[in-house]
Amino acid sequence: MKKYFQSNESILLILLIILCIFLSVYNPQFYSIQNINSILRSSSTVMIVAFGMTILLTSGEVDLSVGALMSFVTVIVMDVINISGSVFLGFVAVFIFCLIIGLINGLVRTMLNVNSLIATLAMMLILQGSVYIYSMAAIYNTHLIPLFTFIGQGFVFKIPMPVIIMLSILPFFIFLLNYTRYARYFTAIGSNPSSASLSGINNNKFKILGFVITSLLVGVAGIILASLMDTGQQGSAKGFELIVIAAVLLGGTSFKGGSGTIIGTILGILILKVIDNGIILMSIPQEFQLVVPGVILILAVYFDTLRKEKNA
Amino acid sequence: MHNSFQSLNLKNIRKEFPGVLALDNVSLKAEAGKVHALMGENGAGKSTLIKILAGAYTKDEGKILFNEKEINITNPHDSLNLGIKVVYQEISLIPEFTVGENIFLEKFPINDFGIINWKSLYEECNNLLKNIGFELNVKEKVSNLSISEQQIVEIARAIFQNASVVVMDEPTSSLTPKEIEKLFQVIDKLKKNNIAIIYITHKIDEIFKIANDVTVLRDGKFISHRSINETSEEILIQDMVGRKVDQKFDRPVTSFSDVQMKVENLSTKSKLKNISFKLHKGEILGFFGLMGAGRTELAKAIYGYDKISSGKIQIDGKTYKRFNTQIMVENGIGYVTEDRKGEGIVKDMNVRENMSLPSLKLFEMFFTISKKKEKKLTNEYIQKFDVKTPSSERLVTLLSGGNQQKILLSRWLLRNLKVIILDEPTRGVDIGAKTEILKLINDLAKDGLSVILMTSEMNDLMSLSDRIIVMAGGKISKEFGRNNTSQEDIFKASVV
Repeated sequence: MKKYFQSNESILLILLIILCIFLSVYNPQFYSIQNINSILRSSSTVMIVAFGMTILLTSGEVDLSVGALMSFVTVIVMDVINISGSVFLGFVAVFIFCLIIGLINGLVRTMLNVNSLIATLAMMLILQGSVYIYSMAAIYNTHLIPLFTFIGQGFVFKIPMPVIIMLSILPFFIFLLNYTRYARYFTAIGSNPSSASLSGINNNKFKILGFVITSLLVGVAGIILASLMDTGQQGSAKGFELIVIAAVLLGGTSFKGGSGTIIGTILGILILKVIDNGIILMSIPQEFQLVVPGVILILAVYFDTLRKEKNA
Repeated sequence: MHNSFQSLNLKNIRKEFPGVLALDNVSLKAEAGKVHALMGENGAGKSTLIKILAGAYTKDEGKILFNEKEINITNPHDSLNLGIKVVYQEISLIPEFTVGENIFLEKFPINDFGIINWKSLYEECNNLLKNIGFELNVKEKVSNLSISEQQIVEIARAIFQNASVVVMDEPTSSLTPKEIEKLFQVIDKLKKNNIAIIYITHKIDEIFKIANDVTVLRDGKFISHRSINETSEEILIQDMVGRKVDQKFDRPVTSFSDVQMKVENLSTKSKLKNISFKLHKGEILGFFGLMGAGRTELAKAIYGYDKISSGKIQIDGKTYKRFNTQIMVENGIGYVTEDRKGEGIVKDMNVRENMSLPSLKLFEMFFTISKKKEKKLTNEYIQKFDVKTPSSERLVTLLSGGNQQKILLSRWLLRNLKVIILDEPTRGVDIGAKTEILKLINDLAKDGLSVILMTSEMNDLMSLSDRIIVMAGGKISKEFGRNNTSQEDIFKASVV
C-alpha cells in the first residue's frame, strides 16, 4: 500500500478524517446513511471526469471544456432517447459526440500547436454557444424509460448507482496509472517533453489519447447528470471544470505536469465535497461553497511547493 | 574600478552540512591581475567554496581577508559590494529579454525623467561587447541565442558592473574552440584591469594556457596549491583523482565492411544541406564542427526529432523517408543529448525510471511493468557503470552531472542497440567520469555497436574516431581517416 500513500496523500487522508470527525461531532446528521450517500453521489461525477483530468494534468495539459461538454451531453442524451426511444442509441450518440470533441481538442493542441489552456477555453465557448443552436429550450424526459432514471437515481444494495458506476471505472485507472508503461509516458511527457520524445515516445499520440479519454469520461458523467436531473439542460454543468481541476490539484497533481495519482485525486474530491456538505450542515451561507474551496486550493498548492523545495 | 584591490584570501575555511563535511580546512588566495584555477572532481567542494564567496552559504570556521583585512560575507549583498561576481555554469538569463536588457538588468540607464534610456543602453552594451571581443546583436532576444552565446551574455553581465574578483564556473563547457580563444582574450583584459579571476574547470589544457596558480580540492579537502610553472598535467590529474588515470585508448586501425546506416542527401529547411555518409558496424564516426555548423541539427534530423525536407536514411537495408523518434528507437537507434538538463533527464523521475524510459516494453507482461525485473536490470547497470547513487530509487536530480550522464547512456545500453548518437557526451563531466565514459564508448564499438560521436574535445575525437567528418555551414566540408589528420587540418576544414 505504501506506493499509494505517499506523504501528500497521507496528509490529505488525515485532513479528511479530521473534517469528518469534526462534522460528526457538530451535527450527527453528518454520518447518516442518507447524507453519506448524497456526498458520494455528488462526488462520483466529479471523480469520473477527474480520472481523465489527472492524466491530462500529469502530461502537462488541461481541459477547460469539460463542463460545457457535460451540459451538452445532458441535452443530447435526453433528446436522442426521446426521439428514438432507445437508451442504447442515446449512449451511442453521446460517445460519438464526445469522441469527436476529444479528438478535436487533441488535434488542435498537437497539430496546430495551440496551448491547451487556450484551445480548450475556445472549445468551451464553442460548446456553450452551439448547445443553444442545437436547442433553445431545456429538454424534458418524455420517454419515461425507467432504466434511464435508474442510472442517476437508483440504488444497488443501498449504494447509489453513480457511485457504482464510478467504482467500476476506478480499477481501470488505478491499474493504468500504477502498473502500466503508459503512466510513465504521461509523466515523462509532462515533466520533460523533449526528453520523452528523444526516448522514442510519440508525445502527440499520448496527448490526443488523454483528451479523448477525458471527453469520453465526460460522456459518462453527463449521462448520470441528465438522469439525476431528469432533464437535458444547456447550462447544467457550468463551472464543473473548475471543481474538477481544483480537486485534482488539491490531490497533489502538479499544474506543470509530471506528477499525479488517482488516490490523491479521490481524496481531493472527497475533501471538497465534505466541506461543501459541512457548509450546508452548519447553516453557513451557501455562497461560501465557492469561497472555502478557493482558499483551500491556494493553501494546498502553496504547501506542495514548500514540500518540493525542501526535497530539492 | 576597484583599483585599490590587491587580494582576496580564504583561510582554513570549514563548512559542514548535516552529515557531510563539505569543506575541511580549505585555503585559497586570489590576487589582483592573476588567474587562480580551482580544480577537483564533482563533489570535491568547489561549488560550496564559491557559494561561500557569493554569500549563498556562510562558513562555519575560517577567515576571509579582503586586502588583508578580515571581513564577513553573510549574504549575497555583502559579496556584490566587495565586487565579487560569479558567473555560474547554469544560465540564469531572462529568455524573453534582449541581450542588452539582460546585461543591464540590475542597473538600467535612466534619464532625468526616470525613463529608461534605450539608446544609451544599447550603445553602451555594444561597446561593452566589442571591448571584450564578442559580436552579438544586442537587440536580439536571449531565447533566440545558442547556449554558448547565452554564456557570453552571462559573462558580460558579470563584468560590466564593478568587479574585483570574477569567479567563472566552467565557462567553456559549451563554447567552441574559437569562442574559447576569445574568452581567454577577455580574461587577459580583466587581468590588466587589476581583477582577480577564480577559474573553475575540468579541462586541464586550459589551465596551462591562462592560469597563474592552481588549487586542487578532493572530497572537501585542500590537496595542493601549485604555481603553474611547477606542475604538469599528470601531477594535476593525480592530485584530483588520487590515482593515476590511463588516458590512452587501444583502438587499432581497422577497415570496416558492413554498412549499418546510410544517410543520403539529407536536408532540413533551417540548416542542413545534402548530407550523405555511411556508418559501418562497430565503427566510431566522429563529427567535428564549430558553433552553427549544424552538428546537433544533424543528430536530431537523423534521429527523427526534427523534420527533414528531403533525403532518406537506410538502416539495415530498410529505407526511410518519413520517420519520427519512435521509428528510430524501434530500429535500435539511440541518442544522448548535449543538453542533459533540458532534454535528457526527467526531473520528476528517479534513477530507475529515467534509465528504463525508452525500454519499458522489455519489462512488460500482460500490460503490466514488472518492477522486479526493471530494478534488477537497472541495478545491474548502476553497478556496471559505477553510478554513484545510494539506490535505484533516488531522484535523478540529486546526482552529479557525470552520474546523470552515465544514466542517460545506460538508458540506451540496457536495450538492444545498433547505433548510438552521442552529442557532447563528456560535457560538464568530471575527469574521472569522463575517462570512464570514453573507455565505455571504445568498448561498445569493439562489441559491434556503431557510434556517431559529436564532440568539441579535439583530443577525444582524434583518439577515438575511426573516421572524422568535419561540418561547416550545414554541409560536410571534409572527411578524414584515422591517423591521417592533425588538429590543424580538422580546424581548417571547419572554418571554410
